[in-house]
Amino acid sequence: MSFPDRVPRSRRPASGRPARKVLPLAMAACLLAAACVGGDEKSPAPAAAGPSGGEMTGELVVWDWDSAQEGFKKAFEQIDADFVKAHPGVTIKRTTQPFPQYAELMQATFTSKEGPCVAELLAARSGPAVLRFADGLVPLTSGITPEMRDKLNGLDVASADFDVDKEVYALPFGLQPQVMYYNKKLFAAAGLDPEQPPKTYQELEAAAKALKAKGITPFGGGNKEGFLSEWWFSFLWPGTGSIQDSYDLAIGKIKFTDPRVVETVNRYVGFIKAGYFPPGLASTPSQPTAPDEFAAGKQAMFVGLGSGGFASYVPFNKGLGAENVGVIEAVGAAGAPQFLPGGPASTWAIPEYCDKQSLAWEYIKHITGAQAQRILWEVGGIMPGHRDVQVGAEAPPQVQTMLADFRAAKTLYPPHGLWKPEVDSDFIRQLQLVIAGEKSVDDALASVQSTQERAG
Amino acid sequence: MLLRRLRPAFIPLAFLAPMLAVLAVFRLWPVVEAFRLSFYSWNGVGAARYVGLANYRSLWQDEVFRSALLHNGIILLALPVWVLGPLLLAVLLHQRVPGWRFFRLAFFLPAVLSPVIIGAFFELMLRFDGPVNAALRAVGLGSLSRQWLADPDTALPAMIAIILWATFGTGVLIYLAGLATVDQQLYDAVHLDGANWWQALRAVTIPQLRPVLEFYTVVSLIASFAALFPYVYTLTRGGPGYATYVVEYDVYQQAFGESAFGYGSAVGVVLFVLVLILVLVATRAFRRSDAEA
Repeated sequence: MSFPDRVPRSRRPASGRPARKVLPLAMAACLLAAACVGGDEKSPAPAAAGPSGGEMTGELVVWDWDSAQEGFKKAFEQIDADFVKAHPGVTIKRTTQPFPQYAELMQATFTSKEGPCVAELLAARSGPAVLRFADGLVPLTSGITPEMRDKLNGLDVASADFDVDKEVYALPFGLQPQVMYYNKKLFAAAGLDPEQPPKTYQELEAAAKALKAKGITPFGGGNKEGFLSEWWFSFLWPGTGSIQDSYDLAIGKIKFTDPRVVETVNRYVGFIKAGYFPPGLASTPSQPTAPDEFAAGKQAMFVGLGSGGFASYVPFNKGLGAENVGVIEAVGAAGAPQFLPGGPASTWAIPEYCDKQSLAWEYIKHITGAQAQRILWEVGGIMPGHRDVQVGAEAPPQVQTMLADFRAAKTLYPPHGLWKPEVDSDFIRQLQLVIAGEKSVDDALASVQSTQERAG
Repeated sequence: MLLRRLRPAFIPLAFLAPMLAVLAVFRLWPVVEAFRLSFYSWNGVGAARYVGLANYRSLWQDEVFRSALLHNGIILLALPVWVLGPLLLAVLLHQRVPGWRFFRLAFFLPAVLSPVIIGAFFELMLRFDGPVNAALRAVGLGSLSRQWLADPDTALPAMIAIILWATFGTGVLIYLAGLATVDQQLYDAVHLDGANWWQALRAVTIPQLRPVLEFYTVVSLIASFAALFPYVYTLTRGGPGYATYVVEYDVYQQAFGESAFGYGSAVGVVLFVLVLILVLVATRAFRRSDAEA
C-alpha cells in the first residue's frame, strides 16, 4: 500500500488547490499508514492458524482408550456436551478402543486411510505414541500459540525431535507422574518414619531392608509383560541422569552401556535379587493383579502412576485409605533427583486422512483447554496438565503434593517413553532374561545398544 | 476349439468362482503384496522406500530371527508326537475302550475352543500362584512348582505341550474318519494269523491310513510354523526374553510392534518359502515311500 494511492484521484492536490483542504486528509492517511506498517507493539499478532479444511458441522469421530474408565467417560460426556453446545450441528462419536491393541488399530487406520478424525495417543515414541505415527498426522505447529507453550505440560514430547520449535503433532493433556506409592502403616510397622519417605537410592535400599527384616515385602509389581522394568528404570534414572541425558539416551548420543544406565538397571535388578519383590514377579501380570495386591496391603511400596484409575492413588486410596498412602516422586543418587519423571497423560492428534481438520483442531483445543482439564480433574480424577487449573483443597493429599511438586520442578515424560519401539521392546525382553538369571545386566544392555544402533 | 474343450469345465468353474475370488483377494493378493513390500522400508504410515534386498540381508544377521527359527525347529521335533499321538488315541477310541465316549469328548473339546481361550486359560493355570503350582504344593511336590511361562527353561516346552493338547482333538477326529473307512475284514484276517494289537496297527491300520497320515503330517507341519501365533500371543508374547519367540510372531512384532512393515514382510516371505520347501520335501518323501510300497 503506498500513500499516494490511498488518496482518490479527484482529491489529489493539484496546483492552485488550497493545501488546508488536503492536509487533514494527508494526516489521516499518514496515521492509517503508520497503523498498517507500525511496530509489533501496536499491531495485533496474527491469529494462530492450525489445521484447516473440511466442514465445521457433522459427526466428528474420536478414538480413545481412556473412556474405558468410568471417571474419564463421565468427564468426556461433559466436555463433549460443552463442545457440541458451542458448535451447533456437530455431534461427537466417541469410540473406546482396547489399549493393548490400540497401536495395531491405529496402524490399520493409517494404512487404510480411514478412521477417526481425532485420536488419543501416548506422548513420545513408545507404544501407540504420537511420534511413532507422526508421518500420518497433521502438523499442528501453525496453531501453537505462546499461551499453549506456556500453559500445556509436555508439548516437547509431542514434537519432532522433542523440540517444540520443530513440528508439533499433538496437544498434550493431563498430568501423569511416574511415582512410587508407599504404605505408611507398613512403614511404621517396620520402624520407618511414615512421614519421611526415602529420598535417595541408599535410603530406599535401607527402607527395603528394614521392611524385609519385619517380614514385609518391600516392593510390589508384576513383570509378566516386562513393563515393570521400564517403569522402574524411569523412576530411578532421574537420580543419575538429567533431562538432557534422557533425550541423549533416546537418540543414541548416550549408549545403553553407559555406566550411569548400567548403574540404574543394576539397582533395580539388585532389589529383585535381594528378594525385595514378591515371588512370582516374572509371571504376575502388571494389571490388574500387581496393583490390586498393593492396594490390599500385601507390599509396602509400588511404582505406579499419578493419575487415572490404574495403579494410581485412586485404587490405592480406596484400598488402603488416603491417609495411609504416601508418595515418593523420585530418588536421587546422593542428593535430590535431577528431574521428576512425569508428563502428559496422553495427547490428542489429527490423522491426515481426517476430512474435518478444522473441526478436529477446534475440538482438540477445546479438550486440552483449561475448562476441559478442570472437568477431567473434577469428574475423572486426571490431574490437570494445564497450568491454570488448580485442584481444590478437597483433593487427596497425594494429588496436592504431586501437582505442586511437578509444577515447580523440572519434569520430563518418563524416559523409557522416549525410546524407539524396538529399543523399548528389546529392553524389557532383555531385562526379563536378566531377572530369570539367564543374562548379566552388562550383556543385556549391550544387546539393547545393538538394537538402538540398528534402529538408527 | 479351445472353448469347446473348456466347455465341460465352465459349470464347475462357475461354482468355484466366488470362492476363488475370495481366496484371490484375501490369500493370494496379500502374499503377492507382502512379497513386493519385502523390498521396501515402510513404517505403515508414510511413504514406502525401496531398499532392494536390504531387509533380507538384515534378516540374515538378525539374532532374534535366528533364535525364532531355532524355536520353530524345536517345535518341529515334536511333530512325531503331534502326528502319531492322535493316531494312537483314535485307534483306541475306534476300538471302543472302556470310557471311550468320555475320552472322545475330552480329546475333542480343545479342538472346538478358540486358541485364544486356551492360551488365556493356561496362562492363568500356570502362574506362580496358579492352580498347577497349588496342586503340586498340596501333594508335597512344591519343589517342582515354578514360573512355567516366565522361566526361559520351561516356557517353550510348556507352550509345546499346550499346543499339542489343543490340537490333538482335530487329529483324532481326522483319524477316526479315516478309521471308519478301513475294512474290518482286514483286522479279522490278521487276528486269525495271530497278530497282536501292535502288529495289527503296523500291518493294517497304518498302511490303510497312509493317505490320512500323510495329509495330517503336512497339515501339522504347516501348523507348526504358521498356526502358533494365538498361543504365543496369549501365553508369553514371545517371552520371557525371546524364549518362545517364533518366526510367525516375529512377523507380527516387526509389523505392528515396531512399525517395520517391509522387514516384517521379508520375515513372512522367508517363512512362506521355508514352509513350502518343507512341505515339498515331505510330499516327495511320501510319494517315494508310496512307490516303494
